[in-house]
Amino acid sequence: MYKENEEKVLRNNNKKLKDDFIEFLVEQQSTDIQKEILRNIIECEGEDEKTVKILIELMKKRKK
Amino acid sequence: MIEYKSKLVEYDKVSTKPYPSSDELNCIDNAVLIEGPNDFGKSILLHCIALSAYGLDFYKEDPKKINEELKKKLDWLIDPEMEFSKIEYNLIVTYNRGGDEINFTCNKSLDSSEFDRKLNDNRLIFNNFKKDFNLIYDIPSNPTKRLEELLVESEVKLNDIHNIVDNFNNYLTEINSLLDEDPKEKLKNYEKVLINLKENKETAEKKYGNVQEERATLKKYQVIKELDACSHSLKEKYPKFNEVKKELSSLKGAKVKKSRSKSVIRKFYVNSENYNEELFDHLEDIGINTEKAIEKELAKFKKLDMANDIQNNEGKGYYSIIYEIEMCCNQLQTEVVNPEINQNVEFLITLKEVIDKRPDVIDNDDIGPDIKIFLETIDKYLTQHADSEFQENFDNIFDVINKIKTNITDGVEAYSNLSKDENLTESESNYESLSAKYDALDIRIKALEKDEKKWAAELKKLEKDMDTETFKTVVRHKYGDAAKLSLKDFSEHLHSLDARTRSARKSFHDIEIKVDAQEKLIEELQNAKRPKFSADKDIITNILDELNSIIFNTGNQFKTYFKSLSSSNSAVENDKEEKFRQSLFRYISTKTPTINHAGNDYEVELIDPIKKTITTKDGRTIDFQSFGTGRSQSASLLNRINSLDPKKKNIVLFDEIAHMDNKSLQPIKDRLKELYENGTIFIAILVQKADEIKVQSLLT
Repeated sequence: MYKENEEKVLRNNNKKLKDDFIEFLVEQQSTDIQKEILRNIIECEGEDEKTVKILIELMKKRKK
Repeated sequence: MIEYKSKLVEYDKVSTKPYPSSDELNCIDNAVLIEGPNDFGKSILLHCIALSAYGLDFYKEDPKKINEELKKKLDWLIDPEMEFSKIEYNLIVTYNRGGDEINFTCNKSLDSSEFDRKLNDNRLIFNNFKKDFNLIYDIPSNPTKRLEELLVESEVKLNDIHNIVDNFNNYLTEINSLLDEDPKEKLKNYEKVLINLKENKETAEKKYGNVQEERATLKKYQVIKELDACSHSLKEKYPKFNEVKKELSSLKGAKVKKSRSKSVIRKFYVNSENYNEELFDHLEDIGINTEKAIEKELAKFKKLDMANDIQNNEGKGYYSIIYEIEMCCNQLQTEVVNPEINQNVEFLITLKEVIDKRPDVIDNDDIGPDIKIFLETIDKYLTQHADSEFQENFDNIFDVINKIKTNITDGVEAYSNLSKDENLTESESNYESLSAKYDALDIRIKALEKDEKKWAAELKKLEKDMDTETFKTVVRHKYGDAAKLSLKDFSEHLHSLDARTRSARKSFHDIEIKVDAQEKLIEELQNAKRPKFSADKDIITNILDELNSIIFNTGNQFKTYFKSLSSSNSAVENDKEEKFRQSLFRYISTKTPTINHAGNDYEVELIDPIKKTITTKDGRTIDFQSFGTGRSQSASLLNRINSLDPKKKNIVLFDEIAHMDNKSLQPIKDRLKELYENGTIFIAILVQKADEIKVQSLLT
């Protein structure tokens, strides 16, 4: 049964098990941009300057 | 491979009893199932491994990792105050899977609560250990309990993520606050201020130039005006003077004697000259000298033989002329001056004079503009009621008329005294009076001539650089109002211009200093270094706005939702909370996609911790209560194993895995083996109570 569980988990979320909750929380945000911002902040945890750069680029692309 | 030896020493206050570890446990595989009776030492092995792997530190960070009951036992084993039992042990774990070769050792002596831990011969601290290792030390329970625990874990994860976002928000807020100090942003504002200052400077310079020019021009014009006035006055006085001179020479034979009345008469003529001149000026100022009645009286005055009138007619002719002029002025005043409006005008003129004396107030940047508007309003009122300005002139006229009347009385009395003087003959008396008149005129004419000479010299100097007639035309055109003023008012106007020039010069210099200071500041800012992300200030502000919403969600909003869930409150506040719950339940459901119930596996559709039911994909609804303990343990263990962090070496210790038959246990064994082989598991030990001792490797 473990194989089935594992495969289903991966198939359903297409992410590592650890990231499931993040995906859940990201989806709870009101707008797409908020979802993207939250995802990037978590993914780049501990690299604040890099996160800022990514988010700036994100906002610029969104404006275009 | 796990090599292990331990000794538990118990003391009951009578004797000490050592419990060494069983030989069967001295050397075991990294993944094993251990079965045995009580006192076999299987739990002590798990305790030693958990203590070595920083079990108590992991517990402090996340209590879910160590079962509460097991944690108490770990505390008991290493409590330095505990004199009844002590433990010593040596542990060596070797590992060679997934490309990693690891040698982990931990030794503890009996009388010390310290652990000597080494990883590949290097000393260890918890912070380094937890980066690469993870520990789970648990007693498996009902899988539905695990589902409820998932809710708690989710809340912990939410807090973790909220903290991450919050920390990032603090970082970005700090950056944003530095951007407020961005020299380039400041520069924009400073340059705007500089533009305004320069405009103000230009205006102030222009104002200063204008007032300076007006002052200089009118100062020159004053020379012409004074000279004209002197010449005009002399022109009037010379014929009178000659007439008196001629008459005086006809009486040349008269005896010149000293008389006390002579000085009074002399004073009368001096006063008369001055007062008459003053009166005519005032009448001219308001243009009533051409009023028929007044014109008639002035004509009479020109023909009046004043000396004869005072001497022989008690001054009645002179008095009558003055009286008629006074009556006419009274009549005109009544016609043109409204007493109420006049009162206002008087007040406003006084107020305006007070303000005019304070040019610093008028040029003040803050209240100056308002004061100017106020003065303009006053001027408008005064223009509307310009007639009321006559009041002051009328007052001056009445003042001088009163002085003339007194002078006439004094003159008549002096003549009377002179004629009564027995020592004087009539011709002597006449000579005396004419002589006094002559002296008065002489003094006045000499003074005027002196002034005329002075002003003429001044004009000569001016004429070197300009043509007088052209200059007069220019002044009358450019400063018409000032040019029309009487000499006295013109002089006051010049004083006012002096004050205004000083004030305008000060304002101009003040602004000049401000402009210089601002330019220096701008220069400094142009050379200042800009902070990070200066070019994207607006975007950062937008990100911060979005972050506020996210933080509100991950903070207050979702925490409230979790609180409501943990209190099993079935009611939701709104659609958003309902949506959140359904998403959370689906997330929990994905953690256990398949569940075994009554020997059958079901694909899970939705787990509802509020209703405490599991809905399966084939439409069944199973109550939490109906799960058997053996199957539920199996599902729970699998669930825990499937949730392990694949990036770390996991140490998994499960005690008392009771109620599981082989069918339930086999998938767990298989999964542990697989995770060991792929490098996710470092140690995995399952302990089950049994009558027979059996140590079964999961790796074979």
